[in-house]
Amino acid sequence: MILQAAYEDLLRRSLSKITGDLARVIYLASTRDYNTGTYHHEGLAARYRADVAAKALEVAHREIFYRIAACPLPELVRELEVYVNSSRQAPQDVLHIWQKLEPYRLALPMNTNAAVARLFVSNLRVALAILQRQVQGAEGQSTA
Amino acid sequence: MLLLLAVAVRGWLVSRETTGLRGSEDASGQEACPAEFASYIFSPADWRYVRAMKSPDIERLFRKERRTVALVWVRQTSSAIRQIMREHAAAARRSSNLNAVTELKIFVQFAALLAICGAIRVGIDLAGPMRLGGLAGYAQKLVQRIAKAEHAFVLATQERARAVE
Repeated sequence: MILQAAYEDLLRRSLSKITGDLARVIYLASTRDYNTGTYHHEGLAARYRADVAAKALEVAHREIFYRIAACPLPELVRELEVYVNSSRQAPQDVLHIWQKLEPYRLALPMNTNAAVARLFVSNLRVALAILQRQVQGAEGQSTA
Repeated sequence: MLLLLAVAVRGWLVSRETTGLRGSEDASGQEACPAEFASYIFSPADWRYVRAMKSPDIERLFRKERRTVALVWVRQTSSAIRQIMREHAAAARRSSNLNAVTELKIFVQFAALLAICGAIRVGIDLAGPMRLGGLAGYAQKLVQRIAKAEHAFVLATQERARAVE
């Protein structure tokens, strides 16, 4: 019951302000400690208990991750576009870094099924290539 | 025959390359692959979208990536079947009233499932995963059905053993 309340609170206060599931997954993964794997959210922990807040974050992370892993490629390209455009960096720079460092690998929830994890990584690689092609095409048109 | 053998060896080599990507499929704690993902991995919808772009580079990348994902799925499914087989063998050893005909039928089912996985693996190399949706979906359903039946068999064996004690 308390977990459900914390989860709904998280959706209402934090996640609803973030545009797109991809951005939400990246945000939720960033609330997880790299060394311990424990999730932490100051505000949520203050309103509920720290362990309840951690569980709510984990549940939301897993749920949104599975949704984005199963989303069709055209939709993923749109999600990626929204994410790239919402960052303050130039789209080409963000795309370049994402292709080189693959930071989205850190967005995998713990114990994710290997095939689903590989599908997520694969689809993002392809989506990045598609978006880069679109950005290059748009830049080519604007300089012509 | 030689061509089939070459394709099978190539599939095996590629699946070995993907070993590092498998995560901990045998370790406890990893989630099972949700059923809808099998139809997604082998679906031609994304491929149609990629082809419409008319970019050979992106087509190549997509084919390579989706093929790897499909091989991870096949490896995982084969591993799940072997796990169920091991569990069944262990439960059968404890059982006092085994039926030889039923056991033979179960063995044939396991063998058929492993053969389907082998065929999917070869099919991935020959035609690509996008054309194997039906076969993969069938294998997924069969594994789920066998896992359910196996679970019931183990429970019944345990109950009978308890009743005898």
